[in-house]
Amino acid sequence: MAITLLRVDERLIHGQVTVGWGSRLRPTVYVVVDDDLVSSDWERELMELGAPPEVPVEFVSVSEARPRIGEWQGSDARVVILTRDLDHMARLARGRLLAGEEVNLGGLHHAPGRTEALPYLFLTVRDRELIVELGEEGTRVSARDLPTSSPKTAQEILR
Amino acid sequence: MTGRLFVRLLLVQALWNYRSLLGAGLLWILLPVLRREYGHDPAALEAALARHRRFFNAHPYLAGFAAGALARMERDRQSPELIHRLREVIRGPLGSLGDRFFWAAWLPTTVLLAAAAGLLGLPGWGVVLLFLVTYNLVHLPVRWWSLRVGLEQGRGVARGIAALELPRWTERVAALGVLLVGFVFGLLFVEAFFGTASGIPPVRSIALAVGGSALFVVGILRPRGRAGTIPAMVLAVLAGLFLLGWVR
Repeated sequence: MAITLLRVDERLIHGQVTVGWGSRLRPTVYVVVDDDLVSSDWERELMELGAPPEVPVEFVSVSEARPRIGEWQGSDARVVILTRDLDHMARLARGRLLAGEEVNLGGLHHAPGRTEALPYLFLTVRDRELIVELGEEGTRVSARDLPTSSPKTAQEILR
Repeated sequence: MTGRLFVRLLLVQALWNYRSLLGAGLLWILLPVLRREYGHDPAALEAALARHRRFFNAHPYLAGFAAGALARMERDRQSPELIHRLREVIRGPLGSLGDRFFWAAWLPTTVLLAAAAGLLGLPGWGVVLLFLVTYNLVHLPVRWWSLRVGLEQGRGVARGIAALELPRWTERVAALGVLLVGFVFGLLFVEAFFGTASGIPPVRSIALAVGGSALFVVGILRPRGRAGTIPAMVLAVLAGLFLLGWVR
């Protein structure tokens, strides 16, 4: 079943992911790829509380995650990979590691320096460049907050 | 001070808006703490207000964990960076734990309990009262307890949240809810086909037993889908109640 969802969402593990996507995809593991969380016990403990008790959560840095992408793609597990921003996702994908996969943009909220692309997606200039970069690396990018809503393509997001 | 924060916590949704969701409510809860800590220094107070003048979301009943922990961190003069990170990371778990327990399990189950009592002859005002009392018997203590634990544990509040064992309680309450769905369906079945006045208790008990146990078995066999199916069942029951009243 491999990687069933690759998602950029600044809230990482939360209701839209565990209930909205989780009830449809039935993931067997959540992998949070984040360079800050790996060294912060109290944040990881909080984050783990948000996942259903029967689904384990792994926290890995980008450099730990990159060599394991092939393993996840080939495994029987249904892996959901989450990053909090486009920067982590782009570094994970660099070198066509995620070519052929699709990245889901699920939630980047209003903050200074970000402009609205969709109601749940506010992007910086750099974010827009990273979306183009992901495309050039062979990774499709689309935006969709919930499986029930209609996906928006990268062209629609960047317009 | 805890009492004052608690009263404000009850109104956390009063300033609800699409831009900040619970953000404005949380800032208002923290205001007395920030004023006490930084009131003498306008620049520091302004900086503290700016830290909390942002988007925030959580389940409203569990927001006390966040409000308490943030108040404690401000009181302990922890760095703005750490405070910001707690604010960011605590949203997800408080949202998903609370939604699952309160919206998907506790609310429908207490509605069903009151509906069942109504079908068994409790008058309308009694049904409303029974619902309000049972629902709040959990709701209000959880709000109070979460605030207390947040204030006590600050940044380490994950321990206190885990101690509530909400996922386990969600399962239990959902199981009770499924049982009640069967019970209410049984009652509706008897009401619809035999009427209460006809007085045939054996049929009633058979229908109750069959309906209740069938749905209970369904609930047991689909443990992961359990919490999600209950809201749909409640709608079905309410539709049944409506039809019953309309036919009469």
